[in-house]
Amino acid sequence: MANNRELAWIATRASDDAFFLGRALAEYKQFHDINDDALAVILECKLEDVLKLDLCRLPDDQSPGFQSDVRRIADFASCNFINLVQILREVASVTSLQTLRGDASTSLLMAARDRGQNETRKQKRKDSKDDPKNK
Amino acid sequence: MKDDELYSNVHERLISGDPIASSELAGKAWKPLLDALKKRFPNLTESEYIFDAVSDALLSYIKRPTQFDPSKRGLFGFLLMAAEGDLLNALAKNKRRRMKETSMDTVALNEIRGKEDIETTEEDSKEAQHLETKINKLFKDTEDREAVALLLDGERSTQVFAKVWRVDHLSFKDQTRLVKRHKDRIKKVLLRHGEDLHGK
Repeated sequence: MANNRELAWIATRASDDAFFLGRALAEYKQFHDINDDALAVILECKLEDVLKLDLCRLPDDQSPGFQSDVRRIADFASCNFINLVQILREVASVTSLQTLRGDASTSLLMAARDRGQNETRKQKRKDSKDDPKNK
Repeated sequence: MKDDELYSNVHERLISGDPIASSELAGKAWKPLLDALKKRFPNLTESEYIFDAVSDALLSYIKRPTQFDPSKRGLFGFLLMAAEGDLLNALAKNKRRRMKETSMDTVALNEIRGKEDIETTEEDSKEAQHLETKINKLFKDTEDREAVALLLDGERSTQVFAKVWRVDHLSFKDQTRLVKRHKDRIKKVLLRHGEDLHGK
């Protein structure tokens, strides 16, 4: 097994990719403004185990195998299973809310744009009727 | 378990969706891949290009394990070949970029600094002063200015930059992440203003 410092590079890269658990942990750290040391305390594991977690595949929280996947990961990285499940559930909930909010904003923007276009069309029709050339 | 067996086993588990197989593989293959690539490119042993190439090869394979055909070669050989390809591509891309733009990335900065060291004529001194003034205009924070000076000196150590941006108390991973973010930001500014910096 490569040592802590060496794996940090690839773990950092994995933390940018939604395929990996590292991304979810990075989001959790961002929500709570904490660093790896604090995360290790919450997960009751060593700092080097956080790197191992970062490089695991992110389990699908909608899948029936979610709990068993998280259990396997928690055993592998010697961390607290319950706390890991809670972290992943929290990140999944916040991400869903953010997606919904994003969708809602997009819908509002589209509605506003449609309304704007309708009003422009109405105005054009009115201008066209008022134009003496058309009389 | 022998290495070949372990790699074969990990490959099967990646395909079947085992969530820990990726981490096991990274832990097992990271250092041997780095060492093998450093041996092939001895002038790049401390270069970020090597670390990125090995990361790219591993992460890409982990996400799409079926790209590897076990009947053709061993997994380690496949990953090494992929990392070498990524490294050569990255170096070629960097070379093209440097030729295309008169950029002010680390290497270009080093070149300027190198010229100054060889011949410190009055003109060179003025140019250096001009460069310093421009850099001071671009970067208001003393930490950023110090980091640019370190880049000029060819410094690459994450720990040295971590001290500059006062993140050296964090874990190495957090240091790496934050230092990379700061360096990327600085490089972007330098690239954007590269021609201005060169201009008199």
